[in-house]
Amino acid sequence: MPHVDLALTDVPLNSPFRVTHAGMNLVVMRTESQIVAYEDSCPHAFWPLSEGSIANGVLECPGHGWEFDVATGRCVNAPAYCLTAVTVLSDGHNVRLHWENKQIPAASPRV
Amino acid sequence: MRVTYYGQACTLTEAGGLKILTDPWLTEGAYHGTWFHTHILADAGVTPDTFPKDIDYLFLSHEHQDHLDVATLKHFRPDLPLLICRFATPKLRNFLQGLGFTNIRELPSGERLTLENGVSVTIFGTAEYTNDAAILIEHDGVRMFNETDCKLSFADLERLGSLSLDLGFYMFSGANWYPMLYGYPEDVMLDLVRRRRRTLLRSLLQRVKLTKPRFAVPAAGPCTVLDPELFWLNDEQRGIFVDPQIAVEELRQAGVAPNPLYMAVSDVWDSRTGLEPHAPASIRVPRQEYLREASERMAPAIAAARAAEHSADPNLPSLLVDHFQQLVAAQTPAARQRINAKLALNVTGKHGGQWTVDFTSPGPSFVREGLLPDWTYKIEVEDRLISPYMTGEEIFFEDLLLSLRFRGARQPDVYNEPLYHFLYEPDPEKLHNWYATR
Repeated sequence: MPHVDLALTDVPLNSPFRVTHAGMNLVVMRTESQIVAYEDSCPHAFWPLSEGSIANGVLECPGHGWEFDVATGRCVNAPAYCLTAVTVLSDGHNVRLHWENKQIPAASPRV
Repeated sequence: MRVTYYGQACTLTEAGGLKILTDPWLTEGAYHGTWFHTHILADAGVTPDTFPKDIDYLFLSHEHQDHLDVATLKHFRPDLPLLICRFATPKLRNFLQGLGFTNIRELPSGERLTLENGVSVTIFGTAEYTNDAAILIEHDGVRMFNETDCKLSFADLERLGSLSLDLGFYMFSGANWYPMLYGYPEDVMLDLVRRRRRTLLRSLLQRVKLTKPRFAVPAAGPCTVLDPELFWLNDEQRGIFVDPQIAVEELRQAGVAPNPLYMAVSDVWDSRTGLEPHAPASIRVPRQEYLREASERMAPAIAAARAAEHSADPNLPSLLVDHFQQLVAAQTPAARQRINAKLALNVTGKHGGQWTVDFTSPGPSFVREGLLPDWTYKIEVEDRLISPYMTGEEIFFEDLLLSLRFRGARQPDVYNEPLYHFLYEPDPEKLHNWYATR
């Protein structure tokens, strides 16, 4: 199973961070309460979300302003869409991101 | 290369002895009389009579009336080569064939086509469900890009950014009904408008930054509303229609393009000499000042056009039920499940009524009389406006929404994009396939 390891301190607080590994671009986000990672591609027009910004727990895509709940990956302004999540394990110092070759979807879409 | 700007997304590119026209819209009052150019074309001396018609190729980005104007297209010969993007469905091609055009070339997105005299064009299709496209024209090392109002993928924009663009036209303004027509409380609406405008301008900066043109021109907008009843939509605080001068200033301050350029109707950009201002001083006044004068001037014509609108078909109720019943029944269960909406239609007027289109119904009936209390999206509209879409006189339902002559509501207050896609193009196969992979 593909995976990548990071130090927790490598991931900036409330600022999307790109990790590229084994042909996969991921956006990793750390808030005060959690760390999450998704495929680094907006489902709208495939802009890299790692170029976006986070405010109040919401990630804004730099391309056309689509917004995503950092915690769930759900699109705030178009709930039919959600980001593709990867599994994050952390022991408080280090972070391991791993994913199946077939990417793991976040919670099923809701309209 | 010389490029003349004719408002909205219309550019005339002259290069290598060829004239390539993009998205001509030479009339005023599109979408049931609501949409006018940023500046009325005639104010710059541009009319169907004075407009050049001896062109060699016509690129049409999509079917929206401010890009594909049937009245304008009647001025061109039927065998004129039309360039369009090859979309998922032949909707645009069929529409153009229906207008009598016989030489339609559908180009795959991203594939370069060499024309005569070393001129080449590349059409880029949108990343969205809707049909839309942008065009790149190249000749003798000079590259002109017209984004129209097409939202391209990041990869396509990156590719364009690697090509050393000389001139780029970019969408910068909102052009639809959200959030203005949803009846939000004043403070909520003002905040939504402010955020939407901010997002639009940020997006402009990002796209210009990615594509790196030497000269960047805000274009394809804004929609200008001169109907006195809807005039408030032009307000900078209450509407999403951004002043192009504001967009130029944003580009200048951000420093993402070496030469942000304001081009008004009839201005020309020449690859050797740069900008040639041709637009008269009368349309270079501050936008709000121009709009107030134009609205007063056009009010009698707008009122006359309203008075001349046809009444609704007396059979509208049964036509409407049949229309939506057939469209919803034709969708796959998966697509209906994805749409998952209860669309309330409150049609006012003598031949109106109330119906709910229920995508959650197990079938076979999907349209019910009356408004279900748990509707999720509501459209309130006059019978005479929705009637032509039910009779088949008008075929693009989104044109009704773009008229801005309706009221909308959502409960809960979230955007249902699958429902929007259904209203835009309810092609069962396209809709199903789009969501099968998302």
